[in-house]
Amino acid sequence: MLGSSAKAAILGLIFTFLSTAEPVYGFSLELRDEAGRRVQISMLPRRIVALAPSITECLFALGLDQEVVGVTEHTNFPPQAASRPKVGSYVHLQLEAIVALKPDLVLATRDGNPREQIRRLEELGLTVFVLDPRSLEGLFSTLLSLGELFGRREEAADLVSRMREKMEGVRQRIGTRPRPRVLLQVGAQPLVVAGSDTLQDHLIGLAGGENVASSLGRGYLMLSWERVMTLAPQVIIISSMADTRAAEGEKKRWKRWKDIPAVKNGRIHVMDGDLIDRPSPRIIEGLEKMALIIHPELWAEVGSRN
Amino acid sequence: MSFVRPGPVTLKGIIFWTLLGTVAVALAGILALGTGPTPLAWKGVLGEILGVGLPGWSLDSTERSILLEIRLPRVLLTGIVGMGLAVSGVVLQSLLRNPLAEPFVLGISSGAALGALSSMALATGFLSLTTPLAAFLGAMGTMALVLGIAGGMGRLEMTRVLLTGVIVNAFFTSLIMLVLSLSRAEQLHSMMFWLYGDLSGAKYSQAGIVGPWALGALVILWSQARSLNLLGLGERTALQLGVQVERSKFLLLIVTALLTGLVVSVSGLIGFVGLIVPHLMRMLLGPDHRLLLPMGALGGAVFLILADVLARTLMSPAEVPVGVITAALGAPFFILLLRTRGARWNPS
Repeated sequence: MLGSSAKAAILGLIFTFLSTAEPVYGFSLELRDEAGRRVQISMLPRRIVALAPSITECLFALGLDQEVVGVTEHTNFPPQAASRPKVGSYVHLQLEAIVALKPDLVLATRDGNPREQIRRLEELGLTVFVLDPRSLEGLFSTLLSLGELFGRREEAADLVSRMREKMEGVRQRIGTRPRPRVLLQVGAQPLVVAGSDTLQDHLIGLAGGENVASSLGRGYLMLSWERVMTLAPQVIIISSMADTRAAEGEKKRWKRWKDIPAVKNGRIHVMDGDLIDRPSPRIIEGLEKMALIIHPELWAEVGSRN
Repeated sequence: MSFVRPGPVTLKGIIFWTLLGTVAVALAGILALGTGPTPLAWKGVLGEILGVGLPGWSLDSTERSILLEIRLPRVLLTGIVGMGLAVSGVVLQSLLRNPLAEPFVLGISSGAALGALSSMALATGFLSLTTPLAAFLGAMGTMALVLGIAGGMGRLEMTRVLLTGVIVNAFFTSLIMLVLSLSRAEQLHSMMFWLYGDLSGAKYSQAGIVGPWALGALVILWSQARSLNLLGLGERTALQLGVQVERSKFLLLIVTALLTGLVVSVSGLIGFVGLIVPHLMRMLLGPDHRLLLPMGALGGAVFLILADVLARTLMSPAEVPVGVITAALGAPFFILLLRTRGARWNPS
């Protein structure tokens, strides 16, 4: 039915696509996601639902603020992301709300989002790409794959190199200083701390500390007060779960244990949980703050540099 | 006992009430299909369900998939689960002659919970089963255990079954706490939802598997309605009136356990439906099981479908475990009813 000029135009269009050096988004792209599954992306995604606050932060950092059409509860950064339609909390999703947003792509996290619900979303015909950053390096590669996925390679590369630069800056400043023994509390009652193979564990290492809980097991661990005594941390960092007042109360609770070096020396600190619990670009800020908490002597150098 | 008793049950009465109950289920179902975090036009919902091909009476493809792929299986499954729980409650209350009996009291549900939570905790391990299957096996294993312990001493005495159930329940509850306390923080949330009932993952395949079995169980239980009525007069009287007491008790217990295990495996623990709905129906319709069983089924379906509507809309877009709704709304409502009707426990 097409006229010959239209045909020629279309052919021309196809050829321009084929001749560009960059791979062409808008055609089929097959990527392996971070849960090891092959995901077929048939078009450049324009409507994205992000199933964790950290994912939303990554997308906004890549300049994809128009594309994010749905976010989860507790999404609070950047502020304009908080007003996007909510699709339930990331540990319990509202499938219906997600489908209603007609997303081209759903970005999920491997550990937080319930597997059953993710499977269900796929059965409903949605494309789900799973992310699983557990360290800064992991976050960098996540950001790069997001760049690939959304045709924002340069932005992603830029962002990652800026983050890497800051990370290296911290690493250099720390150098071979002695590593204080650090305990990072993520939950209060019961006491839950970050063990090995957690984001926080990596942060502690990069910030020049030694995670005292890393030898106890991987993931987030419940700990008895008795055990904490024997671990004798020199620095205690309390991750505030959005509620700073509760965290300050937590700080007081530690005061009972005078025998713990961190308590004796008054080295109990509260940190904004959003900066150290979320694999998002802001984590670099968390890293820098943590480095200053673990190595307060760095303050002088920071001051003298500015 | 001078319980305000409706007239004697007639076939006409059964048909009348059953029709009324079916209409109530249908209305609750349509209401549930039409409500949710995503607003769907009522005309469209009705058009899709009734197959009306008029312009303006259809939904777009996303809306249709929300209605047909998410809400409809959920409403169907919720109805089946509510039915199963309520019917189990009717039978257990009468059989154990205890007004507090409901599926949970025999330990069946804590057995199911133990199975389900273990499978979640071991999700990546070599022992992993799918959660519904693990829950069902847990429920059946527990029932076998309870009947084995209680019946091992000869005649199946109901007090002993009840007591054994309570003890096994307590024991398993402690094991559940053990599994919870050893679980990774990331899993706790889904475990908690399971423990308070979660129908959000409903699929047609589940309704397709559980539905026919639940209906079959209902039919078998209904066929025992007369025996149940007579058992209420005391075992000796029932025996004299020609009831094969032991066989009947055993059949009723096994089928009820199967029914409970089946519905718990797809919904998690939803308390109160099996407790409240039977009492409600007894107050309304009297104690005759020929009427009580089908009406318990329909009433349970209506109750749980409505509770689930609240569970998914109350805090939308977040979802509340449906067991929270059944207890939080069911309890005050029931107390109010108890005060105004002055009802007394009367199983027969």
